[in-house]
Amino acid sequence: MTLLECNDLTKKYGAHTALSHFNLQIGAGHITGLLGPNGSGKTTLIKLIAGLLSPTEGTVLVKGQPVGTASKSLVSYLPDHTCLSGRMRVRDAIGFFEDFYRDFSSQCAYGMLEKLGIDPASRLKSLSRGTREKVQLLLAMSRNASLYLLDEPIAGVDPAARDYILRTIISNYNENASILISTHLIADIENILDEVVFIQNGTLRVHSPVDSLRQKNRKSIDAIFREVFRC
Amino acid sequence: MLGKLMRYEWKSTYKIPSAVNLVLALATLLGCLILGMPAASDKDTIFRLFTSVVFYSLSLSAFSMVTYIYVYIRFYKNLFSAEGYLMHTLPVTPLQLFHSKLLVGYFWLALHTVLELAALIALGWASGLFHQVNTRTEWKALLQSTLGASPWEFLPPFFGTMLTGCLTSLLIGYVSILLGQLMEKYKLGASVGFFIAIYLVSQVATSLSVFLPSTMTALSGSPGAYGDFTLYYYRNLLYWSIIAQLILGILLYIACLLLVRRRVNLD
Repeated sequence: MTLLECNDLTKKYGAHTALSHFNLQIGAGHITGLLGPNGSGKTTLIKLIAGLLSPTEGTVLVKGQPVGTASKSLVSYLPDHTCLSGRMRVRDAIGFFEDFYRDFSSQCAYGMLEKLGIDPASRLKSLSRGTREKVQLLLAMSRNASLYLLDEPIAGVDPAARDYILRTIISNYNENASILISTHLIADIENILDEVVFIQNGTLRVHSPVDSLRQKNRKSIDAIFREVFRC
Repeated sequence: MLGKLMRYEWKSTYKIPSAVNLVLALATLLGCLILGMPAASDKDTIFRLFTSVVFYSLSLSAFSMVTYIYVYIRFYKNLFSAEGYLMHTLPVTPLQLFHSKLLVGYFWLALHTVLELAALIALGWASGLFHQVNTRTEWKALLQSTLGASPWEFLPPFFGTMLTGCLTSLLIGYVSILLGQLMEKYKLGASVGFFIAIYLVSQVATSLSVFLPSTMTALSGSPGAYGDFTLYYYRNLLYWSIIAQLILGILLYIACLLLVRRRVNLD
């Protein structure tokens, strides 16, 4: 079953084309790595799917639904920066998600907070950048969504926390859901990926299962990435 | 979902407008105490009145400005800055997002306007403006001579003018911010530019649409029971002002709905 469908998706910012006639289909039950150099269109693609940008051309369908209220209830989005108000306490943020998302489990969120040693009473502005990112990630992963869009989920955290985050990602999504992860830190995540999408200058370069790509090239995804995008 | 959004909006915004209103109440109390103190001389009374009026005029303008700017910034920050990434990915319609901000923002502005009017009346009371008036008949005569009508005739259009004015000003800010979002670059700067332009145009348009018909009505009609032509004229002015503000408010509201329905483009 196709969970995400991008058809002929184009996004222009004035004269600059960030995404050009991009076609992608992702089925259920996959963890897909969205990989590409800086400015290749990864964040633009994720924002188009999340409904934060309107496409210049083309369509996005999530479980057959065009981007809108229905698709937003199916998608759990983690932006690449803090989007929660700094004045909020962690427990307020959990309450907020519980109020607006029917599929949100506050029990799961508090469980992860405890494991990470984050005080629910702390204000977000008093936390370090890495801890704020962890809070956002646990909020996103405490939903039982159909599609998770994670934009640079491990960029701002230390290597030890990365392992925890990756474990969290793997253990908190169900087999009918899919995850699209955008990152530069390929070596850290390649072991959890089922398939990869290489994107360059707003166009699709490669969309392939990780195992077949590794077997074909006899290299790791990280090495293939370095070869494909060599400057 | 609108109820939940409004509850969240209320929780996120109540502190600053409440603090502003509290400071307004304290300033009013202070002003009343100063004006209520026994005067040593006429000179002293005049000085006290003068400083109180200056202090009050400045503080009322400042309080209003703070409340308006806060409501505008809240709208921009919550929908079109980093927080917008959260708000625009919620499973709610853009209209629900907009209406939650409009209703809560309007509540604060309307409350502030009512409190300012109450503060002015309290100050007038403390200054002894109404001290010679004791009986109900005397009250009626005073209000008739100063307002040109009984309180029941004067207050509804007066409050109507103030409250529609609040709504129009709020919508001017929202429309400007939404128009600014249509720009490719310098969205905030463009919003400020749109605000200045729309504010100036709306002031000219409402002034013309208020003064022309109210002058014509006043000239063609008879002051009759109002006695004084000026008072009769100002009463007409209030009614025309409400109509003009309402028409402008409806146009701005429609513009907001059209702009909000467009898909966002958060940088």
